[in-house]
Amino acid sequence: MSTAAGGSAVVIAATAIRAAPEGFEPGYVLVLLEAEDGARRLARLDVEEPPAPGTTVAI
Amino acid sequence: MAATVGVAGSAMTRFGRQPDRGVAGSAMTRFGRQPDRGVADLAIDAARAAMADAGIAAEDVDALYLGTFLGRSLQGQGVLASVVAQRLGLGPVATTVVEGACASGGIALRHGMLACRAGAADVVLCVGVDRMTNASSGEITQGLAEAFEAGVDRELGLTFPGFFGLVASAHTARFGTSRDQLSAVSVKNRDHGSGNPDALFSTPVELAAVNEARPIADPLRLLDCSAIADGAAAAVVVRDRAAAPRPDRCVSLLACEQGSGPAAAAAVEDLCSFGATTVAMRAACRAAQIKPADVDVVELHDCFTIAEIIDSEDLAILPHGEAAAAIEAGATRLGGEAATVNPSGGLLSRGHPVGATGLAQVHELVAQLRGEARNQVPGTRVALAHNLGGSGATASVTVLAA
Repeated sequence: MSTAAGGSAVVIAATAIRAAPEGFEPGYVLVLLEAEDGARRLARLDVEEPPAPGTTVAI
Repeated sequence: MAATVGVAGSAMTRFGRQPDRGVAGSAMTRFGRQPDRGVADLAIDAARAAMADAGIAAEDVDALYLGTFLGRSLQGQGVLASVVAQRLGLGPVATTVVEGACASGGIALRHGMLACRAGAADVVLCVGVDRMTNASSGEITQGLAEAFEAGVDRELGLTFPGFFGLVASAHTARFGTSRDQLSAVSVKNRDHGSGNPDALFSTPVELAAVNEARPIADPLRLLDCSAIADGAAAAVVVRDRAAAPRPDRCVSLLACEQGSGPAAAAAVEDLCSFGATTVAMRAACRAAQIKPADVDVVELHDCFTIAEIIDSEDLAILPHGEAAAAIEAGATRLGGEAATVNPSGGLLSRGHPVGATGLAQVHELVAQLRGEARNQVPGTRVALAHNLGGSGATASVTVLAA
């Protein structure tokens, strides 16, 4: 993941941006994460394909 | 200290006939690429046509509400409502620009209704407009991204296709929504939009073409997405339908309600429902004294295929969690067993000059209620328009009746 804070979070939703706006390289993956305390945030993952919702990822 | 005597509350029934508010006339420009028309030109074209349709002269108009989202950022034009009013010859009437991202047009109509309901105006001109195709894709993306809360999503590279890609991902995980079901929305709306002279896309598409179109933001592909366009639409709202110059052509404006919600992806509590829509729908049904099942025809905000699936559920046109399958089975097609959805072809056919969309929906419904629509739904008595802004940051629901 592009930011490291420790712990884990569950993927609520994920997408790969194949047609990127100016200033971004296409193909980046955005995920909506829910941490163990219920806090949600959007993040970029350094992966090729978006993970399935329900997947647990380290943060 | 001297005691203050006040009246804390009172009530009475109203005396006499309540005016029946109405939409006396409506119009839209063709949506598409219009390099020779500036943003004010487009608004004026639609406004003049709507006034002519209503039989209203410039001196009859008491106020103008104009919905635009990109008029400032892409066209560099502030006070657009005043510019349009002056060029229309309306005189020194009250003019107001309203902005609610892609719901700007629907909100303009709501303000027109409120002015009439308050007795502040007898005739209000409501206009929606945006001009987009003269800008670069980067400028358009940046302009549209202003509908996200600053400081969060934009900086990570979230686009609106990206946001609705997240929505589709969540909907698929919860309800098993399939690729074919997403595509069925596009196929239906492009079929409804076939031959629509005002639409950007007026030809049908095959399921396989949608399934195999260029990926944009997983799982969404190019034909899951509405396209940018230039265009305007307008409606004339009157305080008393019976006093309209052509009362037989004036449709009742039963309700135009509004809700709001988060403008950041992480703040959206449930990606499979837009709270702004459900709030506006409940309020609209209450104000219009109707049930969702009473609605014959709907123009809803299919900015992406997944949006139509969720909108259909939020508006209770189809059961929650069952819309994708029902749409795939043809329930909301012309002649289907449920209310007909997007007989105009929707945003997916018409294109989406964002500020104009809400009033283009109303224009289609006025034609349906007059029995004059290109894809006429037989026996239409109650019609509903739904206009969504941003990530559900705002939404309007309008109920019209014959």
